[in-house]
Amino acid sequence: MIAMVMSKLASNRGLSLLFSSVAALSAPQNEDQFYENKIRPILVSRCGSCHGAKAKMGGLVLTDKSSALQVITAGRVADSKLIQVVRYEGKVKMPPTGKLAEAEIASLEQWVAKGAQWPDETKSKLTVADATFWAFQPVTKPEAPRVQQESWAQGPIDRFILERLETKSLTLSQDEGKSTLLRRVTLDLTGLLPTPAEIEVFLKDESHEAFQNVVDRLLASPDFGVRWGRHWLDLTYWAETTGVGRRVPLRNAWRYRDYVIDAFNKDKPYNQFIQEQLAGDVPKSDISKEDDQFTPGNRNVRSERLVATGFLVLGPWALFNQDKTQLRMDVADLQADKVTRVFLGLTIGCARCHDHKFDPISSRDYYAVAGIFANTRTLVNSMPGQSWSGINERPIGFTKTQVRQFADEVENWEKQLAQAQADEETAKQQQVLLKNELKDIKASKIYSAAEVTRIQDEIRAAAKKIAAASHLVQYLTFMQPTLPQTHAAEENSIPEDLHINLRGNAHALGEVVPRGFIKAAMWEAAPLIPSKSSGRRELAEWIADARNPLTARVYVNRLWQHLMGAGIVASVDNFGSRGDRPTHPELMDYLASRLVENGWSTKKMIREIVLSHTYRVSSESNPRNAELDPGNQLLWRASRIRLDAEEIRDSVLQVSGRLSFERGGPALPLTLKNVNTIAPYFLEDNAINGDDVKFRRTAYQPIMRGSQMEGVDILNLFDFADPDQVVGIRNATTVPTQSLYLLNSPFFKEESRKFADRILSESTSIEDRVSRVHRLALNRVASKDDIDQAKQFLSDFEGSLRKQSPLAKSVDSEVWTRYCHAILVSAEFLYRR
Amino acid sequence: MNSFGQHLSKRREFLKRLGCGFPSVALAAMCAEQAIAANNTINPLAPKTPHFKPRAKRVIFLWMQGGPAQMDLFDFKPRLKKESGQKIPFSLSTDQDRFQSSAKLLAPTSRFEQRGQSGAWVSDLLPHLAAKADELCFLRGMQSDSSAHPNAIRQMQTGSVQFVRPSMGCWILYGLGTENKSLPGFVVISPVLYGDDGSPLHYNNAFLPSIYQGMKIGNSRIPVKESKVDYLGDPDISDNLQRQELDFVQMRNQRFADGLGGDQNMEGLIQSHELAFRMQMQAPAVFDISKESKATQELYGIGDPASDNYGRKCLMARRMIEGGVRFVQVTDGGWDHHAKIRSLLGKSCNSVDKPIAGLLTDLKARGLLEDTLVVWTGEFGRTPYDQDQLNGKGTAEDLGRDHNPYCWTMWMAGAGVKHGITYGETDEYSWQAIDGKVHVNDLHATMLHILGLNHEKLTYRYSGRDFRLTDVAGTVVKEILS
Repeated sequence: MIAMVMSKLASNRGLSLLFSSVAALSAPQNEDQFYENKIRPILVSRCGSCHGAKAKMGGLVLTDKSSALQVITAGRVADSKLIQVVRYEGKVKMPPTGKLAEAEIASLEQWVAKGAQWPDETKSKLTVADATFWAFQPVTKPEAPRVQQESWAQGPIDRFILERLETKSLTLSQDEGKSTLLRRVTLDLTGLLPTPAEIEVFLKDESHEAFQNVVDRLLASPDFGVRWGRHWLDLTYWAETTGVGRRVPLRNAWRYRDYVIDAFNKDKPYNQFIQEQLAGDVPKSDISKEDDQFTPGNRNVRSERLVATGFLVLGPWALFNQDKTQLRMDVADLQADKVTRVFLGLTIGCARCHDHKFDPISSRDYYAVAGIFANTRTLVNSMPGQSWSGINERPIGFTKTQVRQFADEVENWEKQLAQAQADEETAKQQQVLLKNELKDIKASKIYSAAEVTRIQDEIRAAAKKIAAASHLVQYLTFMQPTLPQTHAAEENSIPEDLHINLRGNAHALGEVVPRGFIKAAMWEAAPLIPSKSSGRRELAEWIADARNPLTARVYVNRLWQHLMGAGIVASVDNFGSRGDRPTHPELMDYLASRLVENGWSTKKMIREIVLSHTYRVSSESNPRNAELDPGNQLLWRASRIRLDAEEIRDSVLQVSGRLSFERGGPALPLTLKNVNTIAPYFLEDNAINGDDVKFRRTAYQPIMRGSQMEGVDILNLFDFADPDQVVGIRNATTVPTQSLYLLNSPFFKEESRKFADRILSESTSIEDRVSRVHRLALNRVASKDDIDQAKQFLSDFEGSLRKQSPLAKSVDSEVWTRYCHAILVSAEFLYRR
Repeated sequence: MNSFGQHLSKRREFLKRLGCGFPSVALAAMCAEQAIAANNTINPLAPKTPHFKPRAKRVIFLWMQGGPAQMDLFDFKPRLKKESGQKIPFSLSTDQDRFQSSAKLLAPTSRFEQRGQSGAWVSDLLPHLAAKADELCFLRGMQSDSSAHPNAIRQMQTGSVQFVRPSMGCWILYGLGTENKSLPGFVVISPVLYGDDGSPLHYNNAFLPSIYQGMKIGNSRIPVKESKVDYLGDPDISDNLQRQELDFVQMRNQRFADGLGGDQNMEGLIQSHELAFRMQMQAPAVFDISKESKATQELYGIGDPASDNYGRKCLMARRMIEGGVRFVQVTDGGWDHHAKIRSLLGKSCNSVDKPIAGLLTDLKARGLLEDTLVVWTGEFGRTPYDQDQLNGKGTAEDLGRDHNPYCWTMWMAGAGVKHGITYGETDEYSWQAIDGKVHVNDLHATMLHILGLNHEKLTYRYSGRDFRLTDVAGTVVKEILS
């Protein structure tokens, strides 16, 4: 509360505070600027190639303060060796390539005379306005406010909401009807539609706990993890391929996806979830022998934690980039950006090239965090001189059965490889023979054209055989069996701090920055990073600390968004000054405190939100409220949200009866038809999965970087999260290309047909069939209007169809297919309300 | 009146609101623009007023993916001819220096001549285009930040070497909207999607709303005459029957939206369904070049196996531009001549030369060149020294050229640029630009300027930052503006 008042004060008086802080800071800032504009460019461009961070000739690094003091005596120009040598007066003349310009020498002299100030490394750059910025204040648990309509509020959440509604004199909405509410909560918690049986149970249950029972059932369902795990994957750059341009398949990426889904199903405490993903590979002595036993899924705690670091190592890496120094920085950059954005809601990427313009994050903060990741092994073969890098893989635990399986696989694989190699060799020899034959024939001068054509055809056929066999050899080489492995992070053996990359260029190095965290978000002195470690574990612990002002707020805000349609802070990935302000700051802090109180349990948090009265009101509009709060920011009604790509696809398959509930394991079709010859291998867009994977829930479909496969085109069109970005909020666009897909795609047509088949076989009368369609797809009872209009449509459509093709067969099936199709492409199906 | 009838009449009302009454297709088309104007607030594709008076209204972007060799086509270097076979007289950067001792200068692989009044040098490999030299504006000092295809392509298409950003067509559509809502505003013909450098970044909207995404027609692996726009129609149902189904859908949608007390998103969905239906009725005709006369088809080189494919693409582009499409990208791949440049470059030239010259002639004859900007470029240039992929065993016929991001030649034509001029100069080997350097960001800034957009003001707020096509760089090349 105090923090809140402070921040309000700060914003009211922001102008004057800002002015005074600028005045107070102006002097040192000028000196910093002088160094940045005049001095650093000289040290880097004229001296840097020998006395920079790389060459370190004579042990001297001029951009590093402690090192440079060897040749500078602050305040005494004549005594400073640096000045002596650049004046070209003594024996030693520097730089040897030519004297500096007089103006440059004058700047250096001026700088040394004034005390050779480096930009202050320790002093926080925070202004008063920054220091009171709401997001950096400690979380305190506010009291729920008093409200007039006490009986409406079912808990603290409702009081926070109601207080604002009452203040603005907004009227309360009706409670939502049971059918719609069940559809809403089932989609929100599992991404699926309620089944007719589930609807029936809920409608019949008149007890006080009816809704609570539904919520508890949904939270316990394995589909909960599928839905919420996918929300998490949106933030992680997760895909089953890597590469920019080239699409390199990742054989073990599925393990991280399964880990995430499992974590949500197990309700893994969020603070533990953070630490495993950031530093699961760093040994910790908290695993008992018992915990480390293999579970039936062949997992133990150690392997699970290794898999968790897939969060860090999977990404859109440019594996072919020849400039490995730049590549290492690019990888560390995306990791630093991802980690801070996902867990802390901060966008620090700007500070790669310059101090953040709007948030209190300096280039030093950025390189302190990036340094932690630059010392984390993400890629292999990423030293200069190597052409292709790969993602680091580490063995995970295995059982005796797996070892036996592995031995069989190897044997089989060796046979296949030997066969392919032999085929290639045979075809090559054949080709040589044929070529010789052709030469002989031509030499003999008596030959028929037909014979030449025949031999030429055979040569071409042999070439095709060679190509096919050689593709297979390459493919098999890539597919060499291994014992279970996972893409995982690893500590570099000798960690070193990063230099600031001037303007983001990995080859223009500035000063060294010790690894560390974001200064503005500190509640006490930063924890020390042991010299032998990258600092990842310390970073993970710092982020997962209950005192971190951002972590819990950012997380509950994400959960709230997925249930309410918008975050309390609408810009869920940006809690900085350019992000949105919370609409209900006290509510946010209440939720953040509750999360921590409840042992960082995601399920408990979701349960509390969903059981609030606020969640259960109708989405119907009301002209007066709509005028006072058109954006529904104060939540006087429930949000209407277009189903996302997965919900659309999964529900369509659900009503057509084809959805498969098989879970987990690899999804990429690695048995490729046209493996490209340029190593390493990458996927074709038209690689289509077999039926065993094709009808699984969308979260288990292969996710390809760059573009989706044709088989799941719906993801491209309906705003699926781009795996090359952190996507806290998906767009929900409405564009004609989507309508074209809805109207004309084979997917919708095919599933509508299956839906119609199902309806036709399940019931006989038109009324029953129409009711059944409504029950299955819209999860409600068909009204009289619904039935009358359906009858009219069915009979009109059948008339037109018969007129158009008098001899048409299976008219009934066609007419019902079109009716089902119409329902599936309608707004009521496509929206959650 | 029964309830179905009531809803039908509601549908009529709703279509009236769109300005279209009960639609015959032609009428709907005529009304499309008015409908957009009337619904400016909810239609992000409505035509927008540019920042200042535009020189051009639309763009045809002729995309030569791979990197055409400037010294074999436009940037004539007598000294390169004279010193052919000699060692490289300049030093290579660290990532290329392994070629320093082995590679030799390679003379221009074709004959050059000065053309027209302007005297621009154009190779014999492009005879039809050479005849248009006085209508072209050559930029010889083009520069990119990367010598790797994926990065350089990304930069030319999106402005950024590394990050996922919206492509220039998306930015232009975002800045200007579209003139015909029955057609997509941004079309990419036959993009390279597969293989080494395949990527959808050419039409990717990245963080811009997906309504600004480009519509792709086919891809580089299929001849354009076999390509189609995805889901543009369903062969299994007649237009009448589909309309009948759609009427039923829309009636239900309207009833649903009304029941909720009105909803902008539902209205959006209703409109979107209507637009999609209009699009599928009209777009195929625009894409169908069989309606063009034989003479026109011949003008574009259609029918000649060498130029048929690109000719069709160019003619489609003209039909789209005529129909109000804002930005059309016409792709030709295969300009990455590392080997056998002597024969393969000529082949590439043959496939595009007549089509492009035909396009320029046709646009001019129809008055379209007055407000259409035509741009021809690859992602970078090629080296003046040779590349021998057979490690020293290659004959003169086997040699090729490597990537060169330090200079290449591109040209523009049509509205907004001076004609018959050459801007920028390279050193005596066409290795580095020495004067009139134009970075990819500068090109983008200039293109936007020609369209009446200030590249520094065309921004989109994403994740707390205002993004631009030109990021933090870009200078308009004023010298070439008409």
